[in-house]
Parts: sequence; C-alpha cells; structure tokens
Amino acid sequence: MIGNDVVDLSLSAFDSERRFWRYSQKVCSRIELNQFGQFESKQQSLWRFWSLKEAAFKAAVRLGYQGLFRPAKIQVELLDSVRAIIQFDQYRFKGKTHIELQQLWSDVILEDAEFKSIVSVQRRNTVSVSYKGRLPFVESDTGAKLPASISHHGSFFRLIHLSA
Amino acid sequence: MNDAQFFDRLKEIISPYVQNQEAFTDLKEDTRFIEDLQINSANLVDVVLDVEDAFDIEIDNDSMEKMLTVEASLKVIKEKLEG
Repeated sequence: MIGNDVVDLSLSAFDSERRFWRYSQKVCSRIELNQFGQFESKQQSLWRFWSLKEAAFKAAVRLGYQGLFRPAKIQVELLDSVRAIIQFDQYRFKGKTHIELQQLWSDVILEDAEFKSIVSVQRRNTVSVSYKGRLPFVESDTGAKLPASISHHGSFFRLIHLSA
Repeated sequence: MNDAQFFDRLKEIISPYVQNQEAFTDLKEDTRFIEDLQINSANLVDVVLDVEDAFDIEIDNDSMEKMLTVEASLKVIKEKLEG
C-alpha cells in the first residue's frame, strides 16, 4: 500500500533556531534528531522526517490503521539522501524523498513491494479521482479503482497511485 | 484567569493557523482543529508551541496528542497550570 506527502519549504521556515529545535523535538525521537543534517540541511531533515511519517500514516490507514496521526510514534531511519525505512504500528515501509528547490516530497510503500508499482500523476485533471470514505482512488482505463494518495501544501500538489 | 479568558486566549493562539474562517467565527468548545478549522497537521505542533509560550507550560507528547479540540486543549492547559 502507498502514501505520500509534499511540503512547501517556503511556508515551513522557522523564526528562530530555538523554535526549530522545540518543534523538531515534538515530532522526532532522539535517534532521529541525531540524523538531522546528515544528508541535507537540518531544516530539510525535519521536513523529510515529517513527510515520511505523514506518508507512512496514510499508507497505514489504507491498511486498516484507525488511530490518529502521532508523528513521534512513527520511527524513521534515513538510509541515504533519498531512501528511508519507516516502522509504524505493525507495518514496515520503505520511503523515498526528493527535494527540488522549495518542494520536498516523499512516497512510501510496504517494504516488500516495489517502487516501480507507483505511478506519479503530474496533472490532477488528467485522472478521475473518487473517494471511498476518506480514501482516494484513481480510475484506470479499464474502470478499475486504483489506490491513490494525494497531498498538497502551499503551491505544490502531488498525486500517486498504484499501477493497474 | 477565568474560563472565558482561557477560551479567548486559545482562540487568539489558533487564529493564524485556521483555514476555515466560518468555523472559526462560530468557535465552540467541541470545535475540532483538523476537521472543523482545517488546521493542517504540521501547524498543530505550532499551536502546541504557542500554547507553551503563552501559558509558560511544557506539554509532553502524550498531552499534545489529546489537543485536537478546543475543549481538550483547554483541559490540558489547565492541568499543566495546576501542575
């Protein structure tokens, strides 16, 4: 199952270093904080962790998780500048994060699945999106409903779905 | 500080993060931050930090997770102030 999240970095700056670290401590564990700045700037690290946690939460909800989004309860380990492993509830996901100028986004999928099964849609109006409850689906050419994940923040929008 | 003053102070704190102004105008104790006010999840952490600053309290993660409505947030604030 899949989940995604996008962050507009231009809307995610902090007034002070102190505020940044207070915020980070509410969201990340000590082990995660120790990875800040290892592969990107510290502020990018925070939003990388955040987006991976949010994306993993969305994927877990699709798998039946019914709790609330509690970022501090989701464990992320960064493997390099792109890849990460996310442990949440009984689920283990792998994630990929990309940063382009002011846009940071993450996609996650169950650890034993393949990223190549994720299709990224560039323009929302090129696909038909429907909802079952709060879960989005994209309709395939054959009418099949493909699990999707949608995220928007600031001026950025990202939509992914499983391939048919 | 009486209940109305707590309510007004919290309303002031959440104001910059609200995306549904109609629900904010009609703010009640059972108003939900995410579903009703459409405060995004990242800004919920900002609300908690601003509450800490405004009331000079520290809110642990377990308490933070309860702060999803006006009523629940006021309860956490009062509990922390009573120490």
